[in-house]
Parts: sequence; C-alpha cells; structure tokens
Amino acid sequence: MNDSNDGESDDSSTKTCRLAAKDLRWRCDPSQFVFETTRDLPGLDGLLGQARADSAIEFGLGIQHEGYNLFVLGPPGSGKRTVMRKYLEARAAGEPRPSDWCYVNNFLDEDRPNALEVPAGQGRQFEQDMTQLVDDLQAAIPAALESEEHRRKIEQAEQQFQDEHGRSLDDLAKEAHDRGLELIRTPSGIALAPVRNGQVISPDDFAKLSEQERTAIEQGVDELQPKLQAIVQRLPQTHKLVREQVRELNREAIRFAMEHLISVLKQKYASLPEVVAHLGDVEADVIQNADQFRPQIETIPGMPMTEPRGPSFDQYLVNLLVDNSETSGAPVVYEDYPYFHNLIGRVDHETHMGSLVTHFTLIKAGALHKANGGYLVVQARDVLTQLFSWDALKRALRSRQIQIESLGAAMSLISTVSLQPEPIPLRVKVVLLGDRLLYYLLQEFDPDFDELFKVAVDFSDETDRSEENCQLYARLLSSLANQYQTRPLHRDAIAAMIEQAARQVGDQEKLSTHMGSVADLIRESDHWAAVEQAGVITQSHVKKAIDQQIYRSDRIRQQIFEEIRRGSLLVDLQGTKIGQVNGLSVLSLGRFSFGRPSRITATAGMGRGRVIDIEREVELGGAIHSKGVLILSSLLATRYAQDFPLSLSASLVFEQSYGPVDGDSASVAEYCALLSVLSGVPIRQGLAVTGSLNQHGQAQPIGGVNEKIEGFFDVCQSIGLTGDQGVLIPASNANHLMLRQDVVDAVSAGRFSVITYDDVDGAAAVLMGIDSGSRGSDGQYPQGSLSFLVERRLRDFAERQRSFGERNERGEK
Amino acid sequence: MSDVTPAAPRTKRILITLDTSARGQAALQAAVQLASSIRAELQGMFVEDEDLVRLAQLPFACEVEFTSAMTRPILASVMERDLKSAAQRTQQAFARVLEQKNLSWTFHVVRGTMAQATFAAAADADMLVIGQQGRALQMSSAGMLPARRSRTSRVVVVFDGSESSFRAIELAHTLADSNQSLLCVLVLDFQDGEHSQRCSTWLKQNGVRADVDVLIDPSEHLILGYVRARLPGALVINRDSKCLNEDQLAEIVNQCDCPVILC
Repeated sequence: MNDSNDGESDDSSTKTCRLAAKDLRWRCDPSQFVFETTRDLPGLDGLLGQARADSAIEFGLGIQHEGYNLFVLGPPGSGKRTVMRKYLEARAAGEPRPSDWCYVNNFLDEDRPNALEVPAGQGRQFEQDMTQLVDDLQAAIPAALESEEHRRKIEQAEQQFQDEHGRSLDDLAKEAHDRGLELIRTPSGIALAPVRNGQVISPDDFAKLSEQERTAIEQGVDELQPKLQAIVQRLPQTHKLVREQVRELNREAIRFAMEHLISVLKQKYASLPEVVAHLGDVEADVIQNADQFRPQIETIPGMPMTEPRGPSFDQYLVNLLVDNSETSGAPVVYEDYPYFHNLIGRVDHETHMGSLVTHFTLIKAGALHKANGGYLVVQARDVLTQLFSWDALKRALRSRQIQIESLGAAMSLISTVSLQPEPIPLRVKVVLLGDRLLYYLLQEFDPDFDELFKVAVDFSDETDRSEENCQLYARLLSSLANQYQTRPLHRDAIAAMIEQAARQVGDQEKLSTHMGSVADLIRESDHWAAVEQAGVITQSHVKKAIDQQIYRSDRIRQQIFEEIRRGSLLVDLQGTKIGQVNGLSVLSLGRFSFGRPSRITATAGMGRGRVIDIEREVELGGAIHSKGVLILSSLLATRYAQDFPLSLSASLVFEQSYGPVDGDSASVAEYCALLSVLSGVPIRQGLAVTGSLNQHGQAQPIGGVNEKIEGFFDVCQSIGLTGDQGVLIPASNANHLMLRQDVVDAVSAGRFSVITYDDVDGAAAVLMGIDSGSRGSDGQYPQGSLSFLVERRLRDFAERQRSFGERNERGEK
Repeated sequence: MSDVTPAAPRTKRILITLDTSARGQAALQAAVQLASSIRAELQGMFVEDEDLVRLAQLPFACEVEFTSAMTRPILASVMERDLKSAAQRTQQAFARVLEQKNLSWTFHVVRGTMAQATFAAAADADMLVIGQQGRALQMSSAGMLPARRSRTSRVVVVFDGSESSFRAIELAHTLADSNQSLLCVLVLDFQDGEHSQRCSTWLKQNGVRADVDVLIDPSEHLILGYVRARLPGALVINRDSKCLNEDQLAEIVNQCDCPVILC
C-alpha cells in the first residue's frame, strides 16, 4: 500500500480510497462568528433543531379537548424538562387563575365532606371568616347563655319544676314530719326515717316505744312510701321536659346571638350560592348543638378533678385545600415524587385515645389539586414505578375529577374510619417526560395510553450542521453560559464545543442536541478557566475539559492497552499472517466508549459446508453477530460453490474474548480471515478492518467508527507507528469521521492511514495485496486472483469429499 | 378601711370533708389549691353518717331508688358495706391527688352525724372545706334537676364586716386568682351601709376586682338563692359570722351544691 494523503482512490477496480487528513474531521471555523465572546451574543429562547417537538408542544398546549395530554420523549439530558418549563411558564402566565377549592363539613354525612369552589383568592378570606365566626360564636353564645336575662328564663323553667315537684316533695315531707318521720337521702335513693331530736331513732329506742307508737311509725312509712315512689317515678319525665324547655331557650338565645354574625357573611358571599347554603347549614348546626359552646366537664368516677376539656368547633372551619391567592396565571406544578397520595391527595389521621381518627380538616391536596386549571409535569418513569400512581392518574384524567381515596383502606391494610370527600372537577394538562422506549412500551401495552396522551413531543438527539444552526448553536451556548453563570465563551471555544457536538453524534453533518452534555462541558470548561484564572473560556479550556472527562473515565481502556503492549493480549501490528485479521470492537462504560483491536482467526477444513461461529457455540455471541456469520457463509457459498457442494468446515473466533460479543461490524474482517485461510494468502497485520457486509459482498456502515479508529491508533502509537498501519472502514462511514486531532496529525504526516472500501473485495485487496478478480466469460476467475485460489481450494474440498463418499459407499477404508 | 388591717392567711391545717361526688371533687380541688398556696397540711375526712346506720337497723327501713323508682329494703349489712366502700374510694381518690401534688396529708374516717362530726373535727383546724354531701335532701344534688354549670367560674364570698370576714375575702381572692375565676362578694349589711363601705375600701386598697352585691337583712335562704344563681365553684364564709347563727350556717352548708369553705 502506498502511503498517500491526497484522498484519492488507491485502486479504481476495487473501489478503495485512502482518506486525506482534511476528511477525517470537520472543522468549525471560529471566524464565521462575528462576535468575540458570548457576552456580545444574545441567548436563544427557542429550541435548536427541534422543529417537530416545537410544533407538537404548540399543538399539545393549544388544543383544549379531552385526552390531549403530552408525552415528551427523548433521551435523558436532552433538555426536555427545561424546554417544557419555558414553554409552560410562558403560556401559563397569560392564562386565568383557577378557582380556590375548600373542603367543608357535610352536616348530613360527616364522612363525605363537601367541596366548595370559590373564586381565586377568596378561599383564604372564606377560611379566615369562618375561623373568625367560630371565635365570635365562642364569645357571643356563652355570653348569651350566661346573660342575666337568659339565666332568669332558665331559672324560671327550673323553678317551675321545683314548684311542681318541690311542692309535692315538701307536702310529703310535711306530712312525714307530722308523723314523726323525715325524708333523708341514702347512698342511692330516698328513705323515710323516724326522727327524734334531729336524729334518726335508734333500734333500741324504737324497741322501747309503745306498741301503738311503733305501729303508727310503721303505718306512716307504709302509707307514705307509695307517695314517695310516685314522686320519684315522675322525675325522669319532668326532668326531660325541663331539659327540652331549657334547650329551646338556649336555641332562641343562640339564634339571636349569631343571627347578625351569619347574615353578614351571607351578604358577603351572596354571589356564591354554595357558600351561602353552607352558612345556613352551619347556622342550623350551631343552634342544634348549642351545648357544645359551654365548657364540658368530664367526670370519670374514681378520677377526681378531671380538667375541663374545651369543645371542638372544627366542624365549622374551612379546609382551604387549594389556595391560588398568590398564583399569577395558571399553575404549573412539577411533582418529583408522584406517589399515590402525592398525586391525588390524602386524608391524614391523628391518634386519639389510641385509635386513629380523621376529619375533613385533615384532607391534604395532591399535585392534581394544585395543578387543577393549569399544568402538571411528572416524570413518566416515576409515576409508573410508584404503586398505583399510574392507575390513579389515568382514572383522574378519564373521569375528569379528583377522587381522594385511602389506599390503605382500599387494600384493607388498615381498618379505620376514613372519609370519602366529594370529588373535585379536574381540568388539567398533564405533561409526562420520559424516554422513547417507555413511550413505545406504553403505546404497545397500555390500551388507555393513546386515549389519554394523544400528543407525542419527540425530542431529536441531533440536528443538521448547517451554517445557520452553527450560529444558533452559538446562541444556545450563550444562553447556557448565562443560565449557569459561567464565564463568557470565546468564539474559538464555541467552535470547539460545536465540533464536540458533531463528535458526540459521530457525524460530520450533524450536531448533538443533548443539552445535558453541553451544559456539563460548559461548566467544566468554566472550571478549568477558573483554575487558570482566565476571564474567558477559550478553546484550550474546552479541550482540557474534554480530555479530563476522558481521563477520569479511561482506566479500563489504559489497562487493556497496557495488556496489549505487554503481550498479554495478543495483537500483531506488523507483518503478515494467514487466517488472522485485526477486527475492531467498541466497549461502552457508562457515558464513555472506546475502541480496541481484537484478533480474529479462521480455520478451514473439509466438511459439510458449515461455518462455525465459536462465539455462538459457547453462547457468547449475540444474535446480530450470528446473523453476520450466516451472511458471510451464504456469500461464500454463492460466490464459490455454484456448481459443486460447499464441502467446508470452517470456524471463526474472537481470540482472547471472554465476554459477550455482538454486532455484525466484524463480518468483513471475519470474511477476509476466511478467504485468507482458504486461499493461503496472508493478511497485513498493520491494518485493522471494520464493517459489516450483505449477501452480495457490499460494505455497510457500522457504529462507533471514530472510537474504533482511535482505539487502533492508540495501540499502534503506544508500540510505535510504522507508517504501514491504518484502519479500513466502509465508505459509507466516511461522513461519520470526527477523529481526534492527534490521529488527524498522524495521517497528515503519513504515519497512519484511514482507508475506505465499498465492498469486501476492496477490503480483501488492501488487506492481502491481491485482487479478488471477477469471473471471465468462461465463468472462471483469473489465474492467481484471490477468488481463483479460494475456489480452487473449495473445489478441492468438494472433490475430496466426493471421493471420500464413494470410498465409503464401496466399503473401502 | 383604716382601723382594720387583714392579716395574711396563716392557715396550717385544712380539714376537708369529702366523698366521691362532684361536690366532693370540687371541694378537694379548692382545698388543694388553698393548701398549695399556703403550704398547709390537708386533713381529709369521710363521715360515716350515723343516721343512715341507725335507719338501716330499723326493721321497716326501705328506700326508693333514684335510678329505678323501685322500693327496696335497706339492710344493715349492706349499708355498712356501702359506707366502708365509699370511705375507701374517697381515701384512694384523695391520696392519689395529694401524692401528685406533693402535699402533706392525713385521712381518717369517723362515724357520727354529719354536722356534729364535721364541726367537732374542725375545732383544731385553721380552715374547713365541706365537700361531703349530708343527708339533707337537695333537689339538684339528689339528681332531681339537671346539674347546671356556669361557663364563667366564680368564687363567692360572704362578707359581714367582721375581722374574720376580711380573712375570708382574702382567701376567696387567692382562690379566684389561682383559678382565674371571677370573685363575687356578697356583703351582709344593715341599713347604714357600713359593711359595704368597708368592703369596697378593702377591694380598692388591694386592687382586687370583684362583683359586689349587698344583702340587707340577710337570711340563709336569701344567701342560698344568691349562691345558686351564680353557680360558683366554691363558697367562702367565715365561721364566726356575726350575721349568721350556727343553724343558719349549717343550713347553708347542707343546702349548698358547691363546696363550702369555712375559715
């Protein structure tokens, strides 16, 4: 192979091309930027290269029909969240504030609190008004109940009882007294006792009385006892009447005391009929339960001096669930932890006397409540991985209302009283953020998904490298620099970053739109600028940041290269070998990928037309790799075994490979190794080859071409570049080259080569220095060509196979 | 009031008669507060009413129960047992409270008529708090009327102008102050209004706020009416009242629903 750096074809018949240094990396010319630093450059507000996503967002946010929620799909770090935030906040700012929502007590069924909608900002006022009302009632009602006038009325009612029953008791006491008896209290009732000199007569004294006196006393007791019993029997009924009378008096007093307080509120909220109705319910309940406004003294037998327990007036309060008083425009809620209760709200419990109790004031809002009337943004993966959250979200969107449910009660995990708050109507636009796989999985397996998330906002990973886009990219970098408050970027730093964006996607004609990586690079470049105490980020800082990113991640790469250098990993980098070729593979360690050479060897012998993929036999080869091997087997048979059976048994192996191998990028290398072993023509070991092939022998592009070339270059350089070394890549990969500067420099100096090929014959010609040859008019390959040698060997195998078969049939040994 | 300077309360022993009724508990609460404020010893006492014992020993003794309106015979053995049980429960409740408050205390059970036993035991005490229900029948305390309680707690003190009534009013003020209660002073006066003047002078000098009512030509029934209308937490009276004789005092003690503190 003649060294050349002019980029011209090596051999027109085999369609290979040695690439010139200028073809190995696209250069971003800093002079195209008219500014000096990003300080002079306005930022970019919109999206870069995301026309489809941009249009989808506008459509998704604009359309107001049911089910037009958004799923924003794209790889992590693509800036989905940031972009959506900008769009949503800009849009929400111009939209009306949604209403406030309150929960209030349902006086007919306390387990089902009522939801009240009040205009934005009035919820807090309503809550304060009701709290003030309770305070006022606590003062006004006791004052009314303790007033002299009211007390007098009560006393009159009680006096009536005393007049009626006290009189009958007094009459009885008088009658008893006339008979020498007195009514005295016993531990559990009333008794008639004979009394002398203020004391109950003793048994001895009683015995000393005359028969007549004793009989008179006993007779008196016998006669008065039924009267006493009748009086006591009437007590409960009378007692009840007194209580009712007192209660009615209390109601009248309370109605009068609270009338003006309630009427003021009713006037204030006259435009809100539901609030007015609730105030009416409160009024009725206060009157019905007037006694609660008196301090309750709990007396527990055997437990003296229980402290008076103040009554609770929580039932009249307002639970302000959603307060939009401070909101401007429609709300945009980002829920980072969308577990079930965070999403749809919850009903808390508190312990009372060892048991769990709840109340409508313990109802807490979820993200859907807060976002109601606006936008809710959640990560799809988060909502899917939280138990029941996804179902709850779908249920809410389908029913267009938020129904707070107790998960524990629904699953019978806890057995306690819970509430069933009245559902709140839901009008929200949900924005799910997720990766593409998740989107397609949901589309495939969740029948509700398409109905509820009709708008896909697909963020592209890359955009075209046009001149206009380069200018926009520069403005994007300016925005990021402002956002992260870094030093301004010099235009040569901008150029370096744009080149890195092209390198990231591995394409000279594309730029990466992965905002996470760009932001990292800006921040890290800024750090290195700070270390150097520079005022501006320059190209050198960007390069340092990139180098340091690689350095922090490439321990394994250096280890592998060292093993190759020390001869532990066997790779020949010079000379020739039959049936042995340098393939290239890419290892990905998180965000860092690198290429390395691998020795691929082939062996062949007579057999039944089978090429054995040893990787597959030991279950280390993946399906795509096996497919590649089967394609090359087919190609071999098609090309060389047209009129005789393919009596071959060949095997292919990645030497010293102890892990899984997949992909078909080594199929050209494997095919060449096979041709070498069949033809006996050795392969140049200073070259490595990558590329996949189809059944017609055409080369197909492969991934990671830059990493592969650089991996082989690094190994060669560590041992010593000879000038004969290089890498063969499919011609269709030429546009993907964004090689490191040191590789480009080596090619420029003629110490390394990058050669493209169109088909397997071209690759074989470069690797083995011999033309493959084409069949002539006689159907034969030219004498001495590679194909001639291969076919001759295969024909020989077939002949020997046939004669071997005949001998077997004749029974000869 | 320039000629009388009330001495600070120096009570060292407070006798309290009590049972487990609401009145008894209220009395205990008041007594504990007083004892805490002046670091006095509390002497608890439960009187086993001799009248009830005698009644139970009579062959025809029977009672009408409040809870069922049924008539049932009273057995001496059951009465003895009930009284002992009540004494025991009272002592336990008393001890529990006093131990919590870390106050010095004694408790004893005596048998006798309520009034005699109480006043006999009170001879050595500096102050008497009456919380045990006597045998006298009261409409409300017997459960015949719904119990009424005022939201505003009050302490009522009877002021008759005597030196000991200054002590009573000071004691009532202490009690009302520690309970954040309203002090109500009932001045027993004659036509000349001298007691009212002395009372208002004392209140003014001591910066004490109180509701003051004046009763001309007092009787125990008028005093009881006043007390019942105000539903107080305690009633404070000086024992040696020159306006009330012993029988009137006993009638007030017997008929009053709230604890009575005699000082």
